[in-house]
Formats: sequence, C-alpha cells, structure tokens
Amino acid sequence: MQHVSIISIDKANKLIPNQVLNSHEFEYFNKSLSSFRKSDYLAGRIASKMAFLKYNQFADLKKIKVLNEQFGPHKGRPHIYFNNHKLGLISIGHSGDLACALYALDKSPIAIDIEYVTKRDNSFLLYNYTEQEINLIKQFTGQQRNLVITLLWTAKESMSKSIGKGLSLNTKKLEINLNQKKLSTHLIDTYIKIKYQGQYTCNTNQYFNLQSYTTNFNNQLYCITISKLIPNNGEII
Amino acid sequence: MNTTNNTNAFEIALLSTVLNNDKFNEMSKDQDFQEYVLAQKEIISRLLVSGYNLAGNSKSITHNIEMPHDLAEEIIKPEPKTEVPASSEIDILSDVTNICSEITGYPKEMLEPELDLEADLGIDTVKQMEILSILRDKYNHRIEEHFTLSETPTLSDVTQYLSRVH
Repeated sequence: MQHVSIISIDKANKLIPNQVLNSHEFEYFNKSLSSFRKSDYLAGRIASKMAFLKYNQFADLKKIKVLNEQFGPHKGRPHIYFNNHKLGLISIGHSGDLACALYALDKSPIAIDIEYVTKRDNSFLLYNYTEQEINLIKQFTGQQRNLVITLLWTAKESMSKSIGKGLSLNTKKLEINLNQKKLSTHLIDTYIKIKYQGQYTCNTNQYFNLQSYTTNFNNQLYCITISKLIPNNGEII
Repeated sequence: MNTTNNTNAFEIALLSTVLNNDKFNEMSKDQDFQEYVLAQKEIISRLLVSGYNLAGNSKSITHNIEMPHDLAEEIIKPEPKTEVPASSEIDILSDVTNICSEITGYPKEMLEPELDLEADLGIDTVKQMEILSILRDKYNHRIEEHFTLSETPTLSDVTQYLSRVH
C-alpha cells in the first residue's frame, strides 16, 4: 500500500518552516543547508508528511519525522517515524517546481522519481541508455522524444532508489522493458499513463514493476515514475 | 480491573516493541509471519495516530495550516474497479500464472494478466506453445481446429480461452 503527494516547491516555501518541521528538522534546515537546498528540503519534507497524512489523517505534522535508516540492508533510506515509532518507507523527489513523496507502509523496496521534460544532449543518451532503449527513443520526435528520454530516465532513477543505490549504479544496467507499440498506445500527444517492467542486470537479476505518469504544471511538462522491486520467491530484497 | 482493556494494553505494548525491534523483524524470514506482523503494524500505527498513543495524545494541527495543493490526486488516479471474475476463472488464472512462472523462470508477481506475453514479457512463441500445451493437458482441453496463438496474447486471454471450454 502506498500514498503519493506532489506539491509545488514554490507554494510549499510560503509556509513557515517551524510550523511544519519538528525541532530536529528545523535545526538541520536552518544550520546545515545552503539557501539553494533549503527550498527543496522544506518542500520534500512537507510532501512526505502529506503523503503520510493520507494514510493517517490525524497525525500531528511536527511529530512526523523523516529519518534515514542508520543500519541494516536499508541503511541510508529515509523512513517515516511518528512519535518515535518507525511506520514505513518514504521516497522523495524534486525537479523544477515540483516535489513529490511516496509513503509505503510495508518494507517492499519502492521509490518515486520526478523530472521535468527537456531536450538532452545526444551524449546523455549514449552514456546512459542501452541500445534497445536508444532504438525505442529514435521512434519518436520532438517533444515526444524528450518525454520518452525523461520517462526512461525517471524509471532508471526510481529503480535505483528503490534498492537504495541512488545514482551509484551504472544506468545502462537498469534497463526498461518497453516496446514502441505499447508506448505509442499509451502516449497521447505528451500525456502518458503506463505500467511496464524494468530490470537491473546484476549477478541475480532484479525485476521491477514501473508506473509512469506525466503532468503539465506552470507550462512545464513533468514525468513521474514509481518503481517497486518484485521480490524473488517471496523474499524481500 | 478491566481484563479486556489490560489484555489489549499488554498486546499493544508488546506489539509496539515489535515495531522498533529491527532485529526481530530481520529474523522473521517466514512469509506468513511477515504478513501477520505487517497486519499488526497496520493496526498499531492507526491506533498510535488516532489517539491511543503510548507516549501521549496526538492531535492534528493541519487544520490551522494552509497546506499546498496536492497534485497527486489528479495525476495518479486510482484504477477503475473491474468486475471480479467467477472463482473458476480465478483458479484457472492462478494455474496459468504458476505454469508460466515455472516455464519462464519469471517471478509470479511480474506476470500481470493484461501484459502481452511476447511484446511485454519477451516470451517467444515456442514457450507460449509449451505453456499452452501443459495447460491444455491439465484441463483436458482439445485444440480447436482454427486456434492460433494470436487469440491468446496475454495471460488473461489464455485464461478466458481455457475457461470457454473448461
């Protein structure tokens, strides 16, 4: 079970930080962050708490904490704590003027990513996409091509985040299983809503269920992807 | 003394330690037990935030704060509810999925019923025929004279095909 929140970073930064952040978050916000990072951090925290509130609407905002796991297989991954009880995973993304957060109660590796759609240099494709993916991208032109590039990128990044690796993986080893026919069926102009699969090629291949969406906000197109790792034989990796 | 309240309080206190006991959870490798603990966590988390709070009462202050508009409701719309098929069709789909998983090596969770077997899952025609052969044998299904693989591009189509003559 998962809950998602997507909000404007600009609107989020109109809130008073100490009304929505607990004391530890506020201290970190004030002392440790550059002014550039402050706005993303505040919006990400607000989106996280709003996602959690969809699950538990009576929660006190300041009692909801987002803390990174200190030990174990999920080390470094953010979790929701409420009144010092760990109550699930959180995944946060920012791009342009939007921040998103995904809250999941159970331990299934799941993550979200968001990117605004823009033209990328050809070298970006060559270094980050597989031959199969580049062939798929070439089937599209103009803004649709930019969208497909962004969609595949958010898929790769969300897969990587869901297994706690961030951008430390070779992006060519995170391959999306999507063909032109299916993509074209679900792509109307620059609107898409699609479910598909991805794979991380490693010693024991890992497979993911992916869901991607687009939205237009303040005349900017964004792509959002949610990735969930498929457990092998029921084992949560 | 209210025995029911004390029993509930004890169970809740015990389960609240489970929430924080990572080692306990890591040791719980059994799938059934994981599902049981998860079910208890869900109950406990709702109790914790709805007022039954072991550390004190909680109250919502979001009503006093104008939160930013959440775009997720418009972007990520829930899937429309589909009619639940008859139980026999569910059993057949389960069979189809199991056999497909055995033959292809794919985990069952990956084999969503509406995915195209070849286009989405990369299962070639030879494997599709192998899967169908096993299923037809299992269901004593006779090959229809004009049957072609194009009639069963997805697991859902395979299920409906088998249901037609089962």
